[in-house]
Amino acid sequence: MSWQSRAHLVRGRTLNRWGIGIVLAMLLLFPHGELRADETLRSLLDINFERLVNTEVMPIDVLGSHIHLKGEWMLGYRYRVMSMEGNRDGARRQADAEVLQSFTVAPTAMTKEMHLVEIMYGFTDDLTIMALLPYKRLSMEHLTGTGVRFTTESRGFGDLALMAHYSIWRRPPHRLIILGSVRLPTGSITKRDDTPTAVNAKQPYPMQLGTGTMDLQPGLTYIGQTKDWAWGGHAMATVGAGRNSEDYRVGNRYRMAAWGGYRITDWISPSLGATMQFWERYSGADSELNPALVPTADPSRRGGRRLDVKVGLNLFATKGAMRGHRLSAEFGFPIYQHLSGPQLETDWILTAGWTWRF
Amino acid sequence: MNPVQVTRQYPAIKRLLSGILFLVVSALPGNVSDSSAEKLLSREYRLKAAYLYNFAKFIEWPEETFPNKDTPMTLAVLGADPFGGHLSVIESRTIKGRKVRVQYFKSLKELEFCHLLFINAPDSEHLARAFNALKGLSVLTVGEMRGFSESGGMIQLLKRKNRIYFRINRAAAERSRLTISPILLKVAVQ
Repeated sequence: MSWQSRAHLVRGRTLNRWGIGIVLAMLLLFPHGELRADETLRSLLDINFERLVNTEVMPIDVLGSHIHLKGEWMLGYRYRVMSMEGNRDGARRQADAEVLQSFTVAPTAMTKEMHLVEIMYGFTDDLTIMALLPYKRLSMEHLTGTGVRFTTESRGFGDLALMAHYSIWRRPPHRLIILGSVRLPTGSITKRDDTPTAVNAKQPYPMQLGTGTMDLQPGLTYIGQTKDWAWGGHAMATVGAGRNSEDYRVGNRYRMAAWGGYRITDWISPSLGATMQFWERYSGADSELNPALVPTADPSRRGGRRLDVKVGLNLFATKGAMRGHRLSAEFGFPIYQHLSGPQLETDWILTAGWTWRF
Repeated sequence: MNPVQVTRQYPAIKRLLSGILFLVVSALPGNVSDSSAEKLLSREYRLKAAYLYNFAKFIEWPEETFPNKDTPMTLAVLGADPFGGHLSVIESRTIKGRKVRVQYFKSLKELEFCHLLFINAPDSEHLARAFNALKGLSVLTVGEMRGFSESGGMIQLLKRKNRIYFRINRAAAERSRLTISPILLKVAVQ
């Protein structure tokens, strides 16, 4: 067995020990719903009639962001910025000079910004439909073999996603939701910009705003929620269909996430989570792009995997004119990434959002 | 890299995925069909139980329904119990100085006099039969079935926009010589 295989095995055993520990801790820490049922009914009997009439069936507070009720609308906006600097090949960092030994141009940094508008509607307590439209601004810095630095940019709408969530199983405090999404190719895949060697050159793959294909996103989400705790897990795949107009298909992406949040008060909750992602290299190729020029133009250097840790803070207005409004911020950073490189590595991701339920 | 390759290359991930699959598969068959367990824990029905308790506080029954000072206030459920037995928690309380008794009647054949009856009828035919059996009795009928108040029920519980509301059929209550407090009438939806 190689050293690397042993390391994987040791990491696997450690992961298993942590996994078992976390599950046991959750079982011990989170009170079972049945034990709480009588107690809650007793407390409901104590409140006066006026308060009872105003009591919500599903308490909507800082933890309740994942559940939407019949007839409820939610409008949201999210801003996400991702900072990438330096290249990696596999798990190993690669200096710009090393990249330039194989390519004419090396990407040195990239900033991905996204403004996402989302609208959701609860058809029933179990079925929520939503539409999400991103607006992206991408910026990539480069270094040529002759020492020239230049930046390219692209901006515009990304792919529109139409999504449905359906609760297939509910047993308080647990809920299992299947989700399905169709992503329409509304984002451009023909973005161009000037470079030192070409005017209006076709931008490489990561600078395009969409996939150009109709993508399906099946997924499964588990949510647990008690009065003070919320936790969950999520698995989702993004699978492209066919090839786009430029004769390539963006690689499939698989995403798994787990999170937990604690309600300090009705209106404030910190959260902690982790996300593991795998993404495949592209198939086909855009004939206008030269893979020998820059690694971002090579469809076989687009795969990778990454594990991010995320810490967040959620604020929710429970009363007054701002009732139903939520502000959230989340900061994530990778603790592991392995890229089919050379490929730009991710340094950090910041997400800030606002939602309004009405 | 496809999922099969991923799991081949990373046995820990394969084990983790197998574990998740096992948990989901082992949890589903027993629980999906266990709707009573869900209802048992449902906050919606806990709220509705609290409503029944409050209705009993805001209704006046004819004196003869309490033959003596020790006669308890009887709340009952007819049909399948959506409260999962938790209505019995109200037995620890008193209403208008009277002890509370909670009874469960699976069918009309078992039905005895009670002050408040939550009717969980499977269909409108069973509902009509229940109303017929209660004709002339001072029993406050409460239900949540669509059309409950229109077909003769006195208080219909409704769930709208994440809250519980109720509609009152005042004429039906008056026919049974029940007096409804203005507090309830004010809050009731039309």
